[in-house]
Amino acid sequence: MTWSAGGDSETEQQQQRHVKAYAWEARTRGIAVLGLVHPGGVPSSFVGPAVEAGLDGLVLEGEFPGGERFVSEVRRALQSKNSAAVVVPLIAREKHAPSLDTPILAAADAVAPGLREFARGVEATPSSEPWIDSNIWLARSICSWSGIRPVWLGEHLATNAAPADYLRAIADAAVGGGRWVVALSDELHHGLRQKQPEATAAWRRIAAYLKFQQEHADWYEYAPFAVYGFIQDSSGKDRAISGENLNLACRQRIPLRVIERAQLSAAALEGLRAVHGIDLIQPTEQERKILSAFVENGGLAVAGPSWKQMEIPKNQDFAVLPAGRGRVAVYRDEWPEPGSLAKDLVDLLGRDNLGVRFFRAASVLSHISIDKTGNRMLVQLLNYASYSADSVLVRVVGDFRTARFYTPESAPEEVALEKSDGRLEVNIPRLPVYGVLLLEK
Amino acid sequence: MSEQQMEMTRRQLLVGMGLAAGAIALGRSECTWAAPSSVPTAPVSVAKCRSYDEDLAAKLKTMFDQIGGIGKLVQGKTIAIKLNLTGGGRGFPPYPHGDTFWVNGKLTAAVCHLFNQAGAKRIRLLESNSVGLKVEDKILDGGWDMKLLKNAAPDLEFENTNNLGSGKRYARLRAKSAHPYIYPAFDLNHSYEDCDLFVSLAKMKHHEECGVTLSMKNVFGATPCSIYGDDAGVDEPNEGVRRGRAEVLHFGRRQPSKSAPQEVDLTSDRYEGHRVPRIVTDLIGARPIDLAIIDGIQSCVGGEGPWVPRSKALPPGQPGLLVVGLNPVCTDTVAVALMGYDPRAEAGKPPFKVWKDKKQGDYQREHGDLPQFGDNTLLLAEAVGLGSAELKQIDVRGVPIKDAGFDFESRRAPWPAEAR
Repeated sequence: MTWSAGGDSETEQQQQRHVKAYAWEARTRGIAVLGLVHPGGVPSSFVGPAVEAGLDGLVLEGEFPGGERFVSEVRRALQSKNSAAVVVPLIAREKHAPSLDTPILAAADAVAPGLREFARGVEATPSSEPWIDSNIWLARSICSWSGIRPVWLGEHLATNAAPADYLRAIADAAVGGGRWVVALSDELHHGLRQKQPEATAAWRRIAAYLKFQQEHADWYEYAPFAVYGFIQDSSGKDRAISGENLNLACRQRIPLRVIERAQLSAAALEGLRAVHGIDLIQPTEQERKILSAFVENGGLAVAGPSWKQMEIPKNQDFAVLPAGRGRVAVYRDEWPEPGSLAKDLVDLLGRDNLGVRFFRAASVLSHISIDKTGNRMLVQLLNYASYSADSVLVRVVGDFRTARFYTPESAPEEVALEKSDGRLEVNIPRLPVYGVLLLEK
Repeated sequence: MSEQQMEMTRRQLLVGMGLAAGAIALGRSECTWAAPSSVPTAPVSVAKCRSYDEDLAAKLKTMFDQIGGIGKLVQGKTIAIKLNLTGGGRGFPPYPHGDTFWVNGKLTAAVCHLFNQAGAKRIRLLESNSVGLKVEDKILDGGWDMKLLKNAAPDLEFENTNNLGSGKRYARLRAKSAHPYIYPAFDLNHSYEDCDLFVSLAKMKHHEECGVTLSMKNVFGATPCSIYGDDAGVDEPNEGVRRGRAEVLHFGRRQPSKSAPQEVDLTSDRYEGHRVPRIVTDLIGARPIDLAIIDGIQSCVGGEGPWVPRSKALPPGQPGLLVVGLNPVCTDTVAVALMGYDPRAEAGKPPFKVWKDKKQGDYQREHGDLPQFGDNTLLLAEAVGLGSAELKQIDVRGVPIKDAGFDFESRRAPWPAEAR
C-alpha cells in the first residue's frame, strides 16, 4: 500500500489513516502489509506512523537521496522504535549484489512480460523468433546468490492489462524462482470494489495462480537442470550486457544454471557440457585452471579474447580451439553481440545435446529443474503470447515413466509419454498461459 | 546498329512472339539475345480444394492423371522434393505454419504417399534450414505430423541443403540458357543433382520482392548459404554459415565463395527487384523442375511470411486451390491467373508491384528513390525458353480458371499511401 510519497502532510496523513485501517483489517486475516515509500519524505516523517500502524515493512521504490545511506537511516529509525518491520529497497538488478543487507531482494527493472512482434533494433527476418519480454533470467540471476532470501519482481503492467497479463506476470516471476509484487490496475481495483463479475473472475484467476505457487513451493526449490553453466560476475562493471547474454540464452531455451563468479569451482561445473566464461574478462589463474580442467575432460568453454591471442577468421566472430577432449570457443570481442552469441551457443552445443527440446513453442519459454534424487524432472512452460500455444511438444532425454501436467486453473492430467528415436516426447495440447510438466522415473 | 536500334529490334521481335509486355520487364543487358523461336508448354491441372482434411491423395491422383500420370516419372526413381518452408518463428497464429506460409504437411504426406505407391525408389525432402537444424525438426516445429509423413512413405529421407549436408561435394549445375541473367551456374547440395525427378512443392502466396511465390521462386531456397550467404566463406564455403542471402543474392554486394561460379556481369543492376527474379530464372535453368505442385488450399497475402509488414493469413478454405503441372513456367502462369492477376503484367503492376518501407529497408542503398518493382519471373523465364507464360498456349485441365479464381489483391492490407 502506498505509504508515503513526499506529499503535503495533510494528504500523507489521510493516506496513512486509510492504510492503517486496512492494515488492521488485513492482519486479522493473516495478511502482512508493507508500506510503499516513494522519494520525497524524510524517515522521521513516515517511520513513526508506520510503526504505529503496525506495518510489517517498508518498501523503498525509486531513487532516494543518499541511496544505501537512506535505506540504513530508515532501518535505524525502525530499530530505534523497537520495530521488527523489514526494509526492502526496490532497486535495479545492477545494484543487487550478494553483499546487499536486506531480507528480501526486490528488482525494480523487471519488464511487463509478453510478446512483441517487433522490437527496436531487431530486424524482422524469415528466421526471426518473436521478441519475448521476460524476467525469468532476471529472477534466476538474483536467485543464483540470494540463498533463502525471497526475490520479488516489481514491474507494473499496462493500465489496460488483461487478466492473462496478471497471470503471466505471476508465473514469469515464479518460473525464475521469484515472486511478482501483485499490482492491480486502478480499473481492476475499481471493478473489484464494485463487485463487477469480470473483475471478480480476474481476481479469482490471479488468486489461483498465487495459490498454485504457494502450494507447490517445494517445486521452486528444485535445482536447475542444466547443460550450460552461465558464470556471472555480480561485481563486474558490464552487468547490463552480461544480463542481456543471460536473457538471450534463456530465450534460446538452453537449459542452464547461473554460477556466481565467486562460487566458481570444479564442483559447480559438474554435469555440464559447456560453460559461459565471457563474464570473466580477465580470468584469474585459479579460474583459468578450473575452466581448463573442464575443457580437458570434454567440456566446451566459451571465452573472450583474453583466453588466448589467436587469429579469428574473417566473417567469423569466434574460433574453436581444441583442447584435451574438449574445446574452447574464443571470441574476437570482449563482449560479443548478445543475439549472435546466444545463437552460437545452440550451434556449439548442438540442438540434440540440450537434454530437453521444445517444438511448436515460439511464444513459450521454459525452466527445467530436478529434485535431489534425480527421479523427478519439472518442466515449467510459460506462454508469452495473448493466444494459446497449441500442441507444444517437449522432447526429453531420460528414462521417465510417467508424465503429469499441472496448471493453476485445472486439475492435473496424465499425459502420454511417447518414445521417438530413443527419446521421450510429450505433447501438451493447449497452453493458454502456464503449466508444469512433472516427469517421474 | 546502335544499341537503341538493337533494343527496338528485340522488342519488335518479342511483339511478334506475343512477348511485348515481357520486353518491358527485361533489362538492357538482355536486349541483344536472340529470342527463342518456340517455348515449351505442358498441361496444367487445377482443382478446388477447401480443406487439408479432404482426401488429398485422391484429389492429387486425379490431377496427376490429368497431366499424363506420374507412373513412368516416378517408378524406380529417386525423387527430390524441394519443400517451401521459408522462415519460422511465431507464424500467423492461430494457424499452423503449413496452413498459411509453408507448404502443408498433410499435402506433402499425400504427395509422398502417391510417389511411394507408384514405386518410387527413394523420396528425399529438401529444404535449406539454419545449419544444424534438421529438416525433420523444423517441420515438427512448424506443426507437421511426422507420423503421418512417415506412414505415407516409410523410408522418407530428409536433407538440409543449406550447406554440404550429407554430401561429400557440391553439385555444379549449369544454366541451360546460353544467356544466363546473373549466374551461369550454381553450386548446390548434392541432393539437387542426385535425383531422377525434381519436384517443387510450393505455396501459392505473395512475395515481398518477387510479387508471387510459386513453384519457381520456391527453388531460390535451394541455394546454400554456405556459398551464397552473407557470411559465406570468401574462398571456400562456410559450413557453419549463419546468415541469409541478402548481401550475395538480393543485392550483389559481395560475390559467392570463389569456389563457386561468379556473376556474369558485375556492372548489372544491384536492385533486388531486378536480381531476385533473374536469379530464380537462372536457377530453374540450372535445376529444372520436373513436376510443380502448388498448395493454394490455404495461404497468406501481402508477403511470403509473417515477417513481411502488412502480411496476413487467409482464413481456412481460401484460396481453396491446388495446381499441378510438368512445366514450372506454365504452372506458375496458371497459378498467377488463378490469383486474379495478369501473368504477363509488367514490372511494377500487381502482382509485381512491390513496396518496402524506405526507413526500414536497406534496398535503397542500390535503388535510391526510384520506383520499386519486382520483375516478372514468368516473362524472364519465357524469354530464355523455359516455358510459356502465355495462358492461351497452356492446356488447363480440371477446373477452368474462371471458375476457380481467387482475388488475392482484394485481400491485401491496403498499400501505404506512398505506394498507391
